[in-house]
Amino acid sequence: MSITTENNEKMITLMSSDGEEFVVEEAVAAQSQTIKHLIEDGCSTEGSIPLPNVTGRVLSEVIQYCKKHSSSDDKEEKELEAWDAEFVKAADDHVALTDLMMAANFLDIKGLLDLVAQTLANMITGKSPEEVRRMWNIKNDFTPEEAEKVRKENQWAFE
Amino acid sequence: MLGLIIKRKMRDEMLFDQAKTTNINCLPPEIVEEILALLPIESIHRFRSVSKSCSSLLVSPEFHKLRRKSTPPPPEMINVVPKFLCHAPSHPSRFVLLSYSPDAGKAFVNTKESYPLINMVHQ
Repeated sequence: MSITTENNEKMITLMSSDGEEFVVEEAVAAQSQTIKHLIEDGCSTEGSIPLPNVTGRVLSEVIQYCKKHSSSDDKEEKELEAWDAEFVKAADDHVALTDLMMAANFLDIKGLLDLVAQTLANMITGKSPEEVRRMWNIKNDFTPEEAEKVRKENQWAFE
Repeated sequence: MLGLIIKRKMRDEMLFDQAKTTNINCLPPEIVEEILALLPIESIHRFRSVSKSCSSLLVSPEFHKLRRKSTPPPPEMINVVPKFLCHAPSHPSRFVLLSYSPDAGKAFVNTKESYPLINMVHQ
């Protein structure tokens, strides 16, 4: 659906997987390469754009990010960095960050993808292998002998 | 057109929609790689113990190529690279400095920084 506001901004309606609708300016939505291509292909005129992989909760966060980044210019880089830091701090745990990462990947928003990837990397940097397994439900499929061998080979990284 | 694109994306990403708890498998492998490529080298060696698939990813040359692209070594790393004094046949009367970079998995001989043998014996 495309509506035009008083200041001539074209509006786009995005629909989350759980049926929530978000009306945003085209410039905001086009921060997502996936949506930008859909608009270019004329898909936004058919009604709202369905985003079957993104829940309303995550989509509202993504839109917040896109709004901020479409309205700021390069001069405000420092302020934008501070804003980004606060933004990922609000997402806080790795489950929320992983959700955000998947949405950024599906919607193809490079800036958000890099931001969340760095945050997740910082989060796991100091963790033990066991903590990483627990965090992401990874099964330890090493036999005790293999585990011992890998551990020995990389002993310096545990000290 | 729209339906087709969305369907294709859905098929690709259906897996993670079904998994409600977060699971590493719900992230596309290239994204997992991108996150891991941002880690310091110690963490990468430590996480080789996580699982077999983690281990084989973290030793693969492709992964290290990606890592060098996404994380150029910080300037302070230069001081952390282990250095060894060694005897090089090309400089029989001197010790040369051998630097080992665990990141690149290579050793470098620095012939510009060399030390006379005699001094070393006295120290």
